[in-house]
Parts: sequence; structure tokens; C-alpha cells
Amino acid sequence: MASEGAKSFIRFRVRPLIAGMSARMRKTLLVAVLAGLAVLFVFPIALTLTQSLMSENEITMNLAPVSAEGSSRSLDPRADSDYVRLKWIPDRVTLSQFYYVLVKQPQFLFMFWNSVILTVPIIAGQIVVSALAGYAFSQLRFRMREPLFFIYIVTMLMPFQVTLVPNFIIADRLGLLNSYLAIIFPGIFGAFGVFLLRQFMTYIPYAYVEAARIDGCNQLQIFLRIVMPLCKPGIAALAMLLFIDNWNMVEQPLIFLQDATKQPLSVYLSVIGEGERGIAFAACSIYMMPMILMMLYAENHLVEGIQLSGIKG
Amino acid sequence: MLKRRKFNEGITAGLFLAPSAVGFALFFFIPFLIGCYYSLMDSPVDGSFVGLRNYNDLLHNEVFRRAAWNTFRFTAISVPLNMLLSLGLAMMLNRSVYLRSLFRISFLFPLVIPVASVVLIWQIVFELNGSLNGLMQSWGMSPRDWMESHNSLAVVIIVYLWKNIGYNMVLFLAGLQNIPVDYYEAASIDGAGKFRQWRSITLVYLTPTTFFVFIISIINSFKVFRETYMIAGEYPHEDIYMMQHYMNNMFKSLDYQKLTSAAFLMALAITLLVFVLFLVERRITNSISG
Amino acid sequence: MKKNMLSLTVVLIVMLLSACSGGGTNTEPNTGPNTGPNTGPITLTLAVTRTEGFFEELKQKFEASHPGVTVNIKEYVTSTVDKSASGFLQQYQRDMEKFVSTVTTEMASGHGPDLLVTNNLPYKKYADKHMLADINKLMSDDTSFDSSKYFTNVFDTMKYKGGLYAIPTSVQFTNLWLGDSTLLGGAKIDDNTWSWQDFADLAKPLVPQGGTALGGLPTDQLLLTMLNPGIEQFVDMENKKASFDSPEFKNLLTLAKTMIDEGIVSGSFEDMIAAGKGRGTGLFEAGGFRYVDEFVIGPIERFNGNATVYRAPSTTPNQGYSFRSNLTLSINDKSKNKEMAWEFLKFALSEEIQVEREGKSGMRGMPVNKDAFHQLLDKLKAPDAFGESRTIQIDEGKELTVPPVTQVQLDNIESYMTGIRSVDETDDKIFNLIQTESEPFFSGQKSVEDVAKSIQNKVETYLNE
Repeated sequence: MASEGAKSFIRFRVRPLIAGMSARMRKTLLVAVLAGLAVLFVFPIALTLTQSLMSENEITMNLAPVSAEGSSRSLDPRADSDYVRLKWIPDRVTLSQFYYVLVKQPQFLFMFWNSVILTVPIIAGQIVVSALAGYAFSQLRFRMREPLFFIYIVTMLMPFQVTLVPNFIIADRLGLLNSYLAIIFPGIFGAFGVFLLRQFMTYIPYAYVEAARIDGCNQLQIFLRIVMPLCKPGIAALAMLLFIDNWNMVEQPLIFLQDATKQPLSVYLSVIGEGERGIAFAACSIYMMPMILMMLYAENHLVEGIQLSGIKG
Repeated sequence: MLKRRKFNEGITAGLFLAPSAVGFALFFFIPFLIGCYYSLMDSPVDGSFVGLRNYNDLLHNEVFRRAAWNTFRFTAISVPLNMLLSLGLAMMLNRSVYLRSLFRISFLFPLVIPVASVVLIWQIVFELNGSLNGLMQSWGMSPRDWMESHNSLAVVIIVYLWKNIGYNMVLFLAGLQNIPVDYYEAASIDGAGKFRQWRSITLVYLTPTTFFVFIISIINSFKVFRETYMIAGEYPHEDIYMMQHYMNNMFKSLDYQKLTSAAFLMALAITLLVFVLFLVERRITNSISG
Repeated sequence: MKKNMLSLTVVLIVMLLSACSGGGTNTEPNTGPNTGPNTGPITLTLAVTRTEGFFEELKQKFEASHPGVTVNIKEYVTSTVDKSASGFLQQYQRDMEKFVSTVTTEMASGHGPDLLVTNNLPYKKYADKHMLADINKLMSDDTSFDSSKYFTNVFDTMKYKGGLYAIPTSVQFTNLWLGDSTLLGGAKIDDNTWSWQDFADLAKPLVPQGGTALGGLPTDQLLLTMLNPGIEQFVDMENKKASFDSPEFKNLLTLAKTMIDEGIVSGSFEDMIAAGKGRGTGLFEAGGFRYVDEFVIGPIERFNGNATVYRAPSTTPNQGYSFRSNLTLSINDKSKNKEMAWEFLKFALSEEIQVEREGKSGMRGMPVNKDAFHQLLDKLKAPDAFGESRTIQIDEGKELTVPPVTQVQLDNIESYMTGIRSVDETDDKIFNLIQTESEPFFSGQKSVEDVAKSIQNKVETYLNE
């Protein structure tokens, strides 16, 4: 009943209103709405970036109400004065935090590189492995196809704590403990990529494949020449999402990597406390850079993908 | 002719699948089974077989039931909400809008932020002395403790949506772009209106993507645990104490069999859900790629 | 396009190579080959969060007296970034997180270390899963072990379900206070039965101007001190019930807040550090006692020699003295070198090691080994115990003389040791919950009802998981 009311509302009030606007006004409205949302979404990042340009003192003063466990707080009775007021523009722009992070503490850079060593092979590996598997699941017909795929999905849904101890045992047997491979291998063979690419490949009209087969191509050629290029948006999306997931991983390095020198940056950033906030903001800003770059790069491919999919075989 | 093709495809399929299947079995499926085995024991080391006793205990455990209910409630609210909003956004951003790329990227930003930043900012905004309360006070409303009240669920949902709408949007966008433009052309030549086109072409051809996004959203709704854990610790307010908290605590206290049993019950529930969706999706997909 | 692919491939290969090489170099055997106890080389692994001078010293001395045995000290740190004092706490948190997760996983997969430092680990849970060896049994099986040489009352406090799975090797008193006899005058204090309310009533008129009734205790630690030892009153582990929504607890909370608000107890952590040693501005000195000489020096430093030792008030009377263990050790029940691990543990309990309390390579706290303990006491009696002139420095540049130490004093000190009846609960979870949840109450933002209710909820969740 409510949907009826909503429907008629849309039909009789909103629709004419929007239809009444010129195309330009409509576009402007859209932009406005999107802009509003975008600001909301971006605000935490902006906050991180601006705070990273502040000196440590400024941050401590600014964030005093939400910092410090106990002592100074429990002494003065709470009046109504103390709430955090967000400061957007630093009183004094300073790069001291970045200086500290990059120059005085080179360990950050090592950890950054560790993150890279972990993430890049996983992305590359998973794309290759999953594309192959995805092709099999989407284009080929074989008896175990559906049940096998189903198993993939279900296992993928397991939270990592469940497979942690068995993974640990297996890694130990294979002699992989304390090596990056203990994390990279499971990363490469994750089900997510298979899942995603299989979905994308289902889109490819069978007509294309059929045509290629009639032309005498074998499966491998079909795979390489037709299916893969058509999957560009999917692969771009996969790369982006994998990067984000793996760049942020914390629990696995803690357990599988014994050495302190091998820990990635995500582990360090998983526990930030007071007194380190300025550094934390700066480190976070640096930490975000690769992901932002990755996003910009992949976005281009998404666009390319549109153009390609419009082209007829 | 048909029979031979089926047989051949089996072998080819095997080759294509080999790398993934082997790795997957070794690093995921076998550990999964081992975990299953643990759930039937009473101790991870030198335990004795106790059959389904762990499951029975769990189902009677109040804390477990609460965690299960909270998880269900959270997922049931946030996942559909997420999908609706992200689909809407994807559709809006699919046409050529001024500054489109910029918008697309900005919605993706939340994904890029490391957990530490999210936590810091969450604290700044939502804590008892945070800026949200400050804002409320200046508007004349009384401040509340966001995380320690029945509002905590709302906060977690908001954070989940904020973080994951971009994720789903990317997927929906890619899916939308995969629908060949000629379908729309053909349809409008046939005289179908915009809404009709949307219903019969977009929604239908989006089905595999939708299925996918649904599953991924569920997985991501579990991931929100990490941020919640960092803010509210191992024992948050009872409204947001979820399965992941339960499992994490079981892991820390070495109650491995409770952990695996709980995980399996959860998997069972999800499996049923996925199974149903799977059947629906398969039917539609088969009608597409014929 | 082709060029991009090529460079990409090269980068990938480089990464895979560096990843691979990273793994090869670090294959140290976790436990030695499974030969009999005294044949062939044996490697013992001791798991610690961070290695320190003491462990190195222990390792060297043990290896010297036990040829063929290598002690491997395995630490679990997350980074080598050096921090200022404020960053230290977070680094400690990270390391602890890693330590607990990793050791838990290792134990669960049957690959744990031979010995572990269990100060911060949930050893009771490990014991429930049969992962820790019962040290009492090892003691009774070993005919060369003479338990009369140790303060077994201390060991007994950590018994769990009839067995000893984690053994304290070093003692730090936690509920002993030093009272200013001058200020207290002739006040009658029955320190076996007094409650916190009694303490508050007594202290209120006597608190020195601008000072506190409890020196050395920051206000944010007050509530926890009131609850530990004695938490059993509110937490019933056996039946998985908590009673934090009871009037008793709420009264305790309110009392704590009153004491702070009325200035009976004041001072933050930073204040303590700033004040340093020297003339205390406290009615009682509540920092506890870590080393034996503190019993002698303490009164002089802070109260001009006029001080008495009291047991802290408690929520239940007749609790006895309580302590905290500076170093708790356990043995992995699945260790392949259990006998040697036991030898190591015995070595850590031996007089030779237990008597070393100085500097970086000494143990912290007080010995559980009677001979070592007596040695330290005797040292106090020596004429040059406090330097040639028997003076101690106080911060303002003043010096005070230490009068000769009497046998009575020493006997008293020993009586504290033998009077230990309980150990401070180390299960951080419950205390952390209480601490975090009670903060808004102390700052006046939440009512005692709300806070008690939320503590009750969370602790019950914890107990019933």
C-alpha cells in the first residue's frame, strides 16, 4: 500500500517536476546531489590529509577532548565546554610529520616496501589464475561445474580465523613460515577473483565464442583473443578491489611473519595511539597514495572497457 | 558430435581450472575440512571425538544466540540498503555527467582509507566528546553516547554503508557497461519506454552482477568487524556484539572447537541463502548466454 | 603496450624473488630432534614478548652449565621503530597482540615453544586444553627438587584446578602500604579487616594539604586497586555469574568517585612522575614493594623514618598479602624436551639466579627462593649496605642517614613473604572492561546505574562465551 502511494507520488508530482525542467537543469540537479554525497564521502580523507599537515602540538590541542585515558580527564568535572571542534585549516602548515615519517624513521619506508612485496604478486597471480578458472566456469561445460563453483563460494565465505590454524600447519609443513610466500600463495588462490571474473565472462554472448570456434580457434585462442579483452572492466575492477583488500591486511602478517622487519605498513597502522596521532595522519596519507594512484589508473581502463564492449566482433 | 564436445570440454576445463583448483584446495578447502574436523573434537591438541556436542552446546549458549541474531539483523538491514543505494549511484554515474570521473573516484575513496584512519576519525566524530556531540549541543540537543547505546547499530551501519557503497558501485558500473548498447537501441526502436527498458534489459542483464554484489556485500558486512573491534574492543555494546566478535574471542581464548563450530553454523546459514540465489541466478543466466 | 607488459613482468619477478629469498634464510628448528633427554644436541625455545638483559644472562649461564643445550629466546615484536614514552604503550599493545595471537596459533597447531612467559597469557585456558605441564607433578617427580627451599605458599596461590600450570618466579607486593606514623598519630587500624569505607573515613581528616591519602597511586587506578585482589566477590568464574549490578558494587563505585571528588585521593600519573621520589605528600604510600631494600629505604625517604607497614583495605576481610609475579613461566605439555625445560625452570628458581636483582641482567621483584631471599636480607644488615656513609639521596639534594637495620625489621619482611595468601588476578579482560566502562562515570558523564549495567553486561558476556 505504501509503495502505491510512493509510486503515485513519483508519477504525479516528482516526474512532472523533473520533466518540466530543462535538460540542463536536470543535469545540474544531478550534479548537485552527487556533489553533496561526494563531499560526505571524501570528508574523512580530507581530514586525514589536512591533519597531517599540522604540527603535533596543534593536533594534541585540537583533539584533547577525545584523547588521554583517565588521568587529566577524571579530575575536572565535565562542563559543557569540551567537545572536539574540527579544524580544517592548520594554523601553520608544516611538513614536520612527513619529515619525521620519511626521513627520521626509515623503517616506515621498509614497511611500505613490505606491503608492496605482499600485495603486487597477489594481484598479478590472482588475475592470471582466476581468469583461467573463470573461463572454465563460465564458458565450458563439464559435469562438476555447478557443484564445484558452489564449493568455491561457500569456502570463500569462511572468516579467516577458521582456516588460520590449519593454514598455519600447512605453511609449516611446506616450510613457508616466516616467508612472504605463506601469505602470497593463499592470496593468489583466493576464490574472489574466480567469482568475479566468472560473472563477467558470463556476459560474453555465446555468439562470439561460437563464431570463433567455427573459425577454427581452439579454447586457448578464444580465451586470449576474445574473452580476455572483453573482460577488461572486470579485470580492472578486480585489480582495484584486490589491491585494497590486501593492502589493508593485518592478521595474516602478524601470525605468519615472525620477523619484525617483514611486517607491512598495515600492521603498524592498526594500532595508533595518542602522542602518535600526527605521525599517524602523515603515515596514513602516504599509505593511501598507492591506492589512490591505483584507482586513477584502473578508472581509465574502466572507460576503455566501455569503448571496447561497444565494438562489434 | 555433441557427446564428443562434452567430453573434450571436460579435459580442457580441467586444464584451465588446474592452477586455481589445486591452490584453492591446498590453501582453502583442505583447511576448511580440517576446521570441520576440529569442530567435532573437544580440544585442538590431543582432543577426543565428541561428535555434535559442540554444536548442541552452541545452540543453547545465550551469548552465541545473541551474536547470531545481531549479525542477522545487521546484515538484513545493511546489505539491501547498500545494494539499492549503490545501484542508484551507479546508474546516475553511468551516463555522461559533468565531472563524472571525479565523482566516481570520490565515492571510492572510503575504501582507500586505512583502518587506523577510520578509527581515528570515528573517534573524533562519534566519541562522547566528539564533534558530532558538539554539533548537537550547539543545536540544542543533548549529546549521547553513540557507541554505548542502542544507537550503536546505526553507527555501524552508517560506517558500513559509507565504506562499501563505492565497492558495489564499481561492480555495478562494470556490469552496466557490459550490457551492449545495441540492446537498448533495439528496444527503443521497438518502441519501449525508458522505464520498460530499465526493467527488462537493465535489471535482467544485471542479474549475474547483482548476485555477485549480494554475496560480496555479505562478505563485506563481516569485514566491518575490524573497525568495530578497534573502536569498541572485544566486548562492545550488546546490540553490536556479532558473530565475528564471538569467534574472535573464542580464538583468543583457545576455544578452537567453539570457533569452528560457530563458523560452520554460520556457513550453513549462508550456504542455504546462497544456494537459493544460485538457483535463481543460474536460471536467468542460462537464458542470456543461451 | 608490449613494453609495459615487459617491465611489469620484470617487476613481478623481482618481487617474487625477494619474497622467496626472504623465506629461505630463517629456518631455525623450533624444537630439537626427538632424542632422549641427555643424548644429542637439544634446543630449548623460550617465548617472550621482547628479549631483555635478564633472559640473555639466564641463557648464557644455563648453556654454560649444560653443555649440548642451546637456549633459543624467541621474541614476538611487530616493529623495530623506536618510540618516545607515549608511543611505548601502543608498541607494547601491538607486541602483546602479536604475542598472544601467534603463541596461541602455535600452541593450537601443536608447534608451540618449550617454555613460555605467561604473565599476560590466559594460562588457565591453556591449562583447560591440556597444553601446559603440571609443574607440581614435575616437582614431586624430581627427587632432587627440595620444595622446602622455596616459599611454596607463593606457588600455591597460582594453583588452578589442583595443578600448577604457571609458576611465579619473582614477587612484587601489591597490597602493602606504608603509612605515615606521624600523621596517623595513634589511629587504630586493624589492617586485617578494614574496608574501603573505613579507610575513607579515617583518611579524610588526615590528608595532608594539597596531598593525597594514597601516594604513588594515580586516581585512574583507584577503582582497580579496590577490586584487585578480591574480585571474586563480584565474579563467580565457576558458575559464570557476575554481580556488578549489585548495591555493593555500586557503592564501591560511588565511594571511589567520592574519594576522588573530595580530594582524599588525588594525583595523576604525570603528577607522580613529576614528583619523583622524596618527601611524600601522601598519608599512605601505596606503590607496593618491589625490592627488599624498599622496606628499609621507603620509610626514611618519605616519612623521615616514622612509618608502619599496613595491609591495604579490601572488600573481603582476612585476605592475607597479595602479590604480582614479575615473571611467570610455564612449560608446554607437548614439548619434546620437557625434562630439559624443567631443568631450565629449576635453574631460574635457583639461588644463583634468584639472588641477582641489580641492573639490566638482574631479575625484578623479590626471590621465591628462600636462600636467595635470606641472602638479600643479610645484605641489608651489612654496615656498608647503603654505601660507605649509609646515606641516601633525595631529589632536592638532601641526604638522609639510614640507621642500622635490626633483625626485627628483617623478620617482619620475611613475615610478609610467608603471609602471602593470594595473587592479583591477571585476567586483564575483566579489569580492562571495568576500567574502560567506568571512565565516563568518573568524569561525571554517566550515572552509576548505567555504568554498572554496562559492566555487568559485558562481563557476563565474557564469562558465558
